[in-house]
Amino acid sequence: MKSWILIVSYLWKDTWKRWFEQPGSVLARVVVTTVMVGISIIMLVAFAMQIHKVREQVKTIGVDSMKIVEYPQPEDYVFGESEARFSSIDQWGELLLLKKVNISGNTSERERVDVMTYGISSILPLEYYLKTGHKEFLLTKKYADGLIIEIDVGGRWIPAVCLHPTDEHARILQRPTLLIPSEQYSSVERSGYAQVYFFKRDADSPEISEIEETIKHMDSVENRGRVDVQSASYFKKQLDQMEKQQKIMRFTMAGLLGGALALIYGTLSILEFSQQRYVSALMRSFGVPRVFLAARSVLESMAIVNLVSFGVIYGLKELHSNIYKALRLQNIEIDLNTLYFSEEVLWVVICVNLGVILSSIPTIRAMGKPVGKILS
Amino acid sequence: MIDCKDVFFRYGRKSDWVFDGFNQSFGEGIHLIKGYSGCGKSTLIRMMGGYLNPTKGQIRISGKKPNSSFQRNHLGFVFQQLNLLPLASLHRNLMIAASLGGVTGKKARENAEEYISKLGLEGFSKRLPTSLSGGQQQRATIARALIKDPEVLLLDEPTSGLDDMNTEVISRALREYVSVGGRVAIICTHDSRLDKIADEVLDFNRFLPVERHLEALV
Repeated sequence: MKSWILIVSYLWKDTWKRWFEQPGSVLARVVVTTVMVGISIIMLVAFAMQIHKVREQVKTIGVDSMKIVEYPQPEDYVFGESEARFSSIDQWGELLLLKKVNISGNTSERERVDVMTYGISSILPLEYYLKTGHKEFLLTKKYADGLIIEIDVGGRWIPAVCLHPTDEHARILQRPTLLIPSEQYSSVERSGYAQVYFFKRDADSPEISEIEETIKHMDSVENRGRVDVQSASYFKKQLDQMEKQQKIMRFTMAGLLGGALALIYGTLSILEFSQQRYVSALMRSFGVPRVFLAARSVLESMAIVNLVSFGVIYGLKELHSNIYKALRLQNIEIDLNTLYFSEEVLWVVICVNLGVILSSIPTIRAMGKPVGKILS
Repeated sequence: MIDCKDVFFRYGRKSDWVFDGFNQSFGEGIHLIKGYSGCGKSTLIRMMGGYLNPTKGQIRISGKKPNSSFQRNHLGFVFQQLNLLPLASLHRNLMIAASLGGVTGKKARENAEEYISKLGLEGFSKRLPTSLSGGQQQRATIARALIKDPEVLLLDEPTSGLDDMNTEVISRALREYVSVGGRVAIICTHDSRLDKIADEVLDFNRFLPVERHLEALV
């Protein structure tokens, strides 16, 4: 039989024996790796999910679109109505102006729906739906097109037709939305509302970023109620910032994880070395190269760390929705394989391996001691 | 075959010199090294085996520095302690040593059987070292050293604590080993029963630095 097979089989036996005699040492490595890798992956995955969410928002909004949400203050109301301050942007494109009321509706199946009212100015953009002949309509893909259902809005049952939203609206609306005419349902608006502007610029109009700047400028000059402007450029900025943070986080985590594992594994390796030293010296006395024996020490730790890491990754993937629910983080629809076998997670695995290699340095150095001094 | 030239050795920077300018050559045959306990016999053969490095000077075997390749292919070494691999059977201990020395397959198995038989270890080949007696372990370490037919055999107190019969078995095996020619065996020992197989007996005390010689005498 080849010598290396005999030696590897002997060293494997020796390793098993040591693990069985002192399981604490292996368990300590397993626990430390599980905790550290687990925490790192949860953090990185949560961050990756946030980035994914923002990317999706960029896609949803589209590069030529913008959403403005204006929250009127009590002093803004005149005869129960507030002025839509930014409605003049319709000169640069198509504007859909809605009021999102502060109360939600509920279907008879207790499904929550957003409620929005529309005024005369929005009839044209909503023409696609209004030509069905219904003024109250629920935009949803859940029910069949044309189905009439009743929705409870603040104790008032409103019959509405179910319509499938256009692709563009489907991207914008976060949940099923009931649209009702403002003039008939002014009582619903009394609970308070936010003005929502869905704007799509014309091709020959100023860039979205310029229109966004104009709105922000107007808002800062007037200094009235809160205004949120969401556009692709806004999300892109957010995305750039998050990606920068992610890079910093990745390096910081790499340093911390690799460093901590190097210290812990290094300490354990030194403690274990007294057990391995005799067999290693004996092997070296037969002429087994030192690098072979050093590799054993590195491979042993690497085997543990990689098995545990991939176990943790697989476990977290399986428990993904439970974990993020428990942590009260918003879960998103994403392919879990893409999320858990991503560059970020691979980075964690690389770091733990680097940590293990670093942790082996004292052991490798200790193997330099002459055999004659050890076997005396 | 083995040349020691101006060898200086000490275990630490502040320790006394064990050797201060040792010169000696060893040719074919069996050489006994005798001397007081602690006079440096074991240290010398460990340096010859490449297990310790001289502080100054050089040791060459057939003109070459003993390294791990030499240890694998050309050296048989028996330590004073019984250094058998504790988790391997006697047979596996021999097979590992043989395969490292390039003796594999049928030849390795034949050699193992031969040395197990020559050293009176029949029936013990599947036993772990811990279940062998001291004498059996001693013979097993010698069998392990001989199995790859090394050119150089270095033995540190191979018969200490052994009865006459075991000593006789080992003596015969060593005599047979050098009878092939082109081989050198160096034995550190206090055991005068081995004098009869030696081609040369080296009194090591004369190489000691004066102060250590006096110390040893006191």
